[in-house]
Amino acid sequence: MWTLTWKGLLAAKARFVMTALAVIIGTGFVAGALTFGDTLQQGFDRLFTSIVGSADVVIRAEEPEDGPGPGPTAAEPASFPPEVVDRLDALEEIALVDGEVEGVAIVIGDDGEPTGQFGPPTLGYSAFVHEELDPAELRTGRWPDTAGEIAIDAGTARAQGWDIGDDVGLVLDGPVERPEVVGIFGLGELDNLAGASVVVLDRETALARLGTDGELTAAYAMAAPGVGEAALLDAVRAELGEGFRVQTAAEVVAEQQEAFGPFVEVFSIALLVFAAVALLVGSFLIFNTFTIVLAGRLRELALLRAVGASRGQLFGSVLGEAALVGAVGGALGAGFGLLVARGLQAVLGTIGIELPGDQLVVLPRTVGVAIAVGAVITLLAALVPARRAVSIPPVAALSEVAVAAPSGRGWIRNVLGALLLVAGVVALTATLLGDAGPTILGVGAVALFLGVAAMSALIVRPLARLLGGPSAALGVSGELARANATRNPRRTAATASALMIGLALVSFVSIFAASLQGTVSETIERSFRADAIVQAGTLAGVPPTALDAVAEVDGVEVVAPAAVGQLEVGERTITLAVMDAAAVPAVFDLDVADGDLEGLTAGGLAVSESVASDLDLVAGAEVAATVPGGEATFPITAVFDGGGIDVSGFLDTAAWEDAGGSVSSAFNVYVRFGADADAATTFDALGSVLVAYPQVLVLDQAGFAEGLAAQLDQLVGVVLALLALSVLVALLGIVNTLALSVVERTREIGLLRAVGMTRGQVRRMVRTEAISVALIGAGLGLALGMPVGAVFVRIEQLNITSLVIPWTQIVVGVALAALAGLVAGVLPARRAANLDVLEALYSE
Amino acid sequence: MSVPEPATRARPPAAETVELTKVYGEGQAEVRAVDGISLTIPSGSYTAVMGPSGSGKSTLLHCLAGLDRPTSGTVRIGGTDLSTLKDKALTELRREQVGFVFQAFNLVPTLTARENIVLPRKLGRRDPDAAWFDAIVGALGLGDRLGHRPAELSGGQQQRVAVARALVTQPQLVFGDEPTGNLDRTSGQELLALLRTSVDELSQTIVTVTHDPVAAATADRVWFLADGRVVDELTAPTVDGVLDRIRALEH
Repeated sequence: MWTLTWKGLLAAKARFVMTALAVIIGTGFVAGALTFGDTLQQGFDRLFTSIVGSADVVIRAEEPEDGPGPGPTAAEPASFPPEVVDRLDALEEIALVDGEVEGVAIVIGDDGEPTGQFGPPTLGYSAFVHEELDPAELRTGRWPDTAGEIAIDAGTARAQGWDIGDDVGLVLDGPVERPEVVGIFGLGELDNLAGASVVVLDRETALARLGTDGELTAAYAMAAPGVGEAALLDAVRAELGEGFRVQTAAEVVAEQQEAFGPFVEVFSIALLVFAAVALLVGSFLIFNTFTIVLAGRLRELALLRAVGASRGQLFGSVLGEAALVGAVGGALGAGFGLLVARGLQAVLGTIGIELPGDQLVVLPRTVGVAIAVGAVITLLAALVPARRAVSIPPVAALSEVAVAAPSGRGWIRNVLGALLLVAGVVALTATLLGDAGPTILGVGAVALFLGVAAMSALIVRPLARLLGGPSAALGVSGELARANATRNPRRTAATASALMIGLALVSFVSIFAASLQGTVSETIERSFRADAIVQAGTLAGVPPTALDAVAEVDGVEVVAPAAVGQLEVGERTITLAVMDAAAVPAVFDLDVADGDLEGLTAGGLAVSESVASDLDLVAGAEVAATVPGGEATFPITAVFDGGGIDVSGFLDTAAWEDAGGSVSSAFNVYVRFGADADAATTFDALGSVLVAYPQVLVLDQAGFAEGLAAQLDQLVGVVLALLALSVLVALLGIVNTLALSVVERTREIGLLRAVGMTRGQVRRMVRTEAISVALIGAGLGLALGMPVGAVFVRIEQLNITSLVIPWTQIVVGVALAALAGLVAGVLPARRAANLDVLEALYSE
Repeated sequence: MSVPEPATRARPPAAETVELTKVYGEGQAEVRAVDGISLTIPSGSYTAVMGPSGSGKSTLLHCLAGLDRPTSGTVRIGGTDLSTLKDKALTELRREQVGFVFQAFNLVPTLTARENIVLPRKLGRRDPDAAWFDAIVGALGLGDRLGHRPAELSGGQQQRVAVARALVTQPQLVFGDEPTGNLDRTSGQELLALLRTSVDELSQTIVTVTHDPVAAATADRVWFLADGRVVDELTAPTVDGVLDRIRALEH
């Protein structure tokens, strides 16, 4: 039977190619996700190793517990005096030691805007005295010697088009200054890390102006020859005593890896979700291809049965073919995965995220997984068509009339589908009416999806009829196209499934995002009394001098700076606005459900309703929380409706300082204008005094709402990527199915041509069918995604109060689907139109 | 284009060929499927073409019907020289002036009988002439089957739908390619009677390829082909007469 399998494969290169293509697409994304993850992992490993440079131990000041983790996220990093380095230098176990200052330095681009707004970190470092210890490597120029000179990372230099000798904008602790670039460096093999900008200052300037009050944040030491790691560690610890963290290079690397591990993992998981979607859709494609291909071979299979092949032998042969095609497709898919991984890097690169890893890391595991997944998926997808095909009676070989495979048990599928649909609708209704959570809704959504998939045979027809109106206007080509799209509804539904999934996701997430945005703007209008908000565009906060400038603007009545604080209560993190309690009512119009805001002045805590319900808190209760200084207990003074506000609690400045928190950098400054001040004039005046501070943003209420909403754009971006993927897969799927359908209908097309259908009409017929299939997919997707999205935003825990249907995005999604159909139809349509009439008429 | 007047015997020929030649392959493998045939098909006539496999009868028919292009020579349908036509014009000529009845797979499976019948008119974006449509549907006895799809029709009914489709445009000529080849005896004879009627009462012109002496005997005349040439001709044929000629040709 193996001979048969081989011959079967070789005899029909076209069907081999079509099936393999479907497998390649599916497995390619799996291989791509794995390769990308491995590359990222290796890149980070190398980066962390190179960041430690040639140092053997790294010394940092002990950080408060539960403080910021590794990486420069704190406005005030733990630090120690420079004398510590001298003490270390005196140790005979140490050959070389150098100190480092790490802080925030904001690079201002030539357009006057900070380069890393709301985004990656903006880091400032001191230059090393001993270059051997410096993890950064100069590419050109030299390290800065004096104030007014800086070195900058190669990534930022390239992005801004800067070179040695350029004067560039920089903000340290005051307004913008323009130092000269004297050096450009890289970090190991990287130009840049994840888009962060890195500036190196001369030692004096760094000590004075990176916010460490003349102290160092780290020291790197190299062991003297012959001194072992343990001996070095012991010597350093003995010399420094308590209050320092002394780690070996390996420990630092491990710690960094641990810190970035979840990031790499989340990234890989997200990619594998994409891959799973691609694979799911790909398996529909494979299923379709096998069904069509086997339908075209029925007579051949019947003949084999007639000459004595058993059902089992045929079944084995067909499945063997499936497994072989799947494995070969998987192997090629691994190759395609390299392109996918490169493409991902390129896409992330263009949006400014440069991730480590130049050389793609292709592990044998990746290739193995791709081949195994390809073989298994293809085998599974071929199971049903193969079973159906081999049940052909041998006598069919002798019959002159067209043979059709016995159809499956449709009614079981339909009943099952109907039950699933009902279950889905019940779950949705329960979520809408009761307090069923997201899990029930999720189960309902899956039930709906499977129900629609199972009942596609019944659903596709009416949908096609709906689309039939416009396509019938194309005359008989349109009518035939509609008829063709419904002649095998399950095939059509399977072909359309990629777009169905894509559009379902898009409509779901865009409804969620738009409703959230709508709620945010609504709440901001309702709960803000401030006329303007000055926001720190970077992690450094709003400089105090900027605060003074704002206070002096004519018409400004209240200036209320708020720092960000975090409380941990059990697993729950409460993000606080830390500000002068007296100013809270002046700039917020909080809807207090329980208690009052008076108690804020006395050190009470106001929390949002969602925090209160999570932690079971009421006004008058007390809550024990982890704070920067350790543990503290706060009385709850008020519970407010916090929907849409990006803070979940308020605390007075004094109370936060008592708890050991820092209030030195304000991230949001709420500004209220006087009653008699003209809002527009005052806002403009505010804008003009803040021109000197490009690192801050000044927004009115609408602008603030937009800024908050912009954070959701990333979510929307991910969804659009999913849409793009589904459109791509759908495109290939439609091409594949339609091309095979054209082959299958060769004789019919010949007949149509004979009785007077022109080539143009044939082309139009196939293209219209392609667009119909695409629109059916889009329609099914919307029918699934929109109700689920609309019900989802009603889930109470989400605190979303308005339902917004973003019609523009939905229309764009449908238009993209139609475009995919249009493009997908081109090749099969050309093929159909170019068929020779006579050959087609007398083909088997 | 005007709808042709009902045919009269005085009309110009429905189709004619002059030195029609069709060659397949080259050199050693060259096959002269049709070798210099000149013939005239009068309007309102019923012609049968017979001959052994490979005699060129199908090729002759395909060239006559504008489905295939001759290597040399001329084919005219209703006075139009087919060699001057590009693909689109040729397609439109087939649509308007030629009707087809094939041996099998005559109908588009997704369309109902009615839709199949009016397909050529619809392809030309024209509505069928209602009176003519009723006339042929009545004559073919399809009145109650119009809403059915091909899969719901018997073989004989399918072939009658195909005849109706062939007649709906009142073409210059209707080509049959073994139209009764797939039918049982009774259905076959019914169909032959219908073809005869459409010539006698509807003044259509029919050319049909057949192996069946009974089918050939319903025609006005029979051409016998061998090796790409017309080797014999029989007017007012009978079944026995046809069988005699066939035997004569085989010996």
